[in-house]
Amino acid sequence: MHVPDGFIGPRTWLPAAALAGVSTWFALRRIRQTMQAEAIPTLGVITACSFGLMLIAVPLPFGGATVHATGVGLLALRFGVTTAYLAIGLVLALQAFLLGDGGVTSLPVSALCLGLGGPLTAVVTHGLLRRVNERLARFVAGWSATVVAALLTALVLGLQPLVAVDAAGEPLFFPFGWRTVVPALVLPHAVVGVLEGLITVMGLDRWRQEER
Amino acid sequence: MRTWWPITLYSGVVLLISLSHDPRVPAAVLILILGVAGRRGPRLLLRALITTALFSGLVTLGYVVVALDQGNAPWLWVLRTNLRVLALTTATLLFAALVDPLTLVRSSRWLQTVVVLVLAQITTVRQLVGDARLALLSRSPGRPRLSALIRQGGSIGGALLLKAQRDLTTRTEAMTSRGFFLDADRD
Amino acid sequence: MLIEIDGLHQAHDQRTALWDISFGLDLGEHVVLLGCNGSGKSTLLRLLNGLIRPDQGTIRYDGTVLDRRSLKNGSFVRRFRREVALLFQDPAAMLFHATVADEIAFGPRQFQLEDPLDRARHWAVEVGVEGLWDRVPAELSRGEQQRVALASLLAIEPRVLLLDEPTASLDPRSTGWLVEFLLDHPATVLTATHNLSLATELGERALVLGEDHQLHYDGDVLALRDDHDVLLRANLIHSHRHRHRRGDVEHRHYHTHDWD
Repeated sequence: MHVPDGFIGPRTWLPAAALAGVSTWFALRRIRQTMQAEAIPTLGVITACSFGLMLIAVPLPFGGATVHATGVGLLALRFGVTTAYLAIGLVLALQAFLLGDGGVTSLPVSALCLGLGGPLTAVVTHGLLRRVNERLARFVAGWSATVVAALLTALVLGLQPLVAVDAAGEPLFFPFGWRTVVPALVLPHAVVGVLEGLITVMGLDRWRQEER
Repeated sequence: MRTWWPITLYSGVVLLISLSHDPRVPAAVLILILGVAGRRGPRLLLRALITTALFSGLVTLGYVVVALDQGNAPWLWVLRTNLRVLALTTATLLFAALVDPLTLVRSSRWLQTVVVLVLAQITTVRQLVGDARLALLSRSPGRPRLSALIRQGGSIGGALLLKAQRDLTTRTEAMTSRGFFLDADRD
Repeated sequence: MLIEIDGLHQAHDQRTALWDISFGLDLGEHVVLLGCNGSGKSTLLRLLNGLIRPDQGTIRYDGTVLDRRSLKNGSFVRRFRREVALLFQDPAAMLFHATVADEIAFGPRQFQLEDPLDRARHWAVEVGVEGLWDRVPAELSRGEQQRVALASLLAIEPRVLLLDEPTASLDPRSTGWLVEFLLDHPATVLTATHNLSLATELGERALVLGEDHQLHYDGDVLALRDDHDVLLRANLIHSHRHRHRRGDVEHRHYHTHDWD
């Protein structure tokens, strides 16, 4: 889910841009150190893969809505947090600048929530649960990545009425606080996350089968 | 140097709209953007409306209902926020239409090569996903069942991972063959 | 011999890709490497280009064995990469620049040749892609990409050209152009193809890889055309029943379905 420009104020997106910039710099430095020049084709190919994963859409049987996957769980478990972060960030940037899909001021927030928060959650939950059951761990990795990304986004949006109000106390940007926006975003994503979890399991199954 | 002007102007527009809370500012900027866009202006505005409609619509509707319920007038917020959203989104669409994404990363040969590689694969990737979708439709007597759609989604995910693995091997070989990795420093 | 292969064995994904391959290539020879899909042609070309190391056996380029040590030797690698060029089956895999100009000029710049842009322009004209000079390689048709990829390799004037199924993605006119272009080219050329009808146009000598990944033939390409045993064993020809248009005559004979 893309948050359009105009709902997050500069008091949030400017520091977010700085944080995203610094973390991207460190991530780039890391993959260049570990992969040397091969980081170029690696990042190029995985970003294209991420772009494709975000095209996977499942039309719901009711309401005419379509749910889009993000592939965050798949990317994180297959390629690691650093590469997943860079790939997702680059896809979001290309979507914003190439397709006008998703905001530019909200890009750093999306990159941090979905691109960093998501993969980190996937890898951590997978690490914790793999001893119990590998497939369950993969499902929870995909599911929790979606839910946590939505939660982080909701926290940023819910912050707006606290940090940006006019003289009369009226919100200047996103108008709803955490009590409203957290359940409004997290609950639907808990359902959508089931799709993401299933895709993570089945995607890795197929990859494992054919890779052998 | 030529690309610095659009980037500077665009950044200026984004900051101006974001830092100002008078709805006349995004309104004026939007009119200016549509003027600069010329004949493509209406199409850009329509695209901006479509891409932001769901989120903006839901939030606006929710806010109006809550505010009216509390006896407050929501109209300034509605006007200011929606004009800001439209102005920023239209500005980005115009910027994207006028500026080649590769010029944004021209200062880094490293990043430019990455972006070129990504853009080169977007069509193939779109086709892979699109063809899979069509193939399922052609094999389904009616609307495909949800379980089939989900299973296919997983299969496409796996196929994309495999494609990435094979593409990476081939591209790395091709770049090695052409001497791309001979130099230690790329930038 | 410029290139010598001796006792090459190669596995890929735990399956045999090549089995006991030995042959040599002289300077200036034009050789066709024939084999059906999956026979190991692409693997062999990758080995000859030093992109993968042989599981068993040796490959020598100009007297130097291609192994871990030589391929880590900076000056040898630089010379090798300039002198031995591989055209991949999928030309898109080779292109990674924003313009055709940059793509073709990359090689000359990389190897610090004089006037890289002039060289690039010269080879763009030779290959017939000067009209695509400012275009984005990824947006070109497959045939155009093939030509740009070829120009990019020729711009560094290699001694050896390894071509992996170069006509697979070309229309008949472009195929005709490629055949003419290679006819008198001074480089050593090894062309991998499953297109038997083109083989006689692409070289004087033929190597045939069978489905068992072994070398079944090394000799004159014209003599190969009459050797049905080898061709059948290598799955390069087939026979099937067909009816001729005049009357009801039905028979079988060997042929290929490539245009002639």
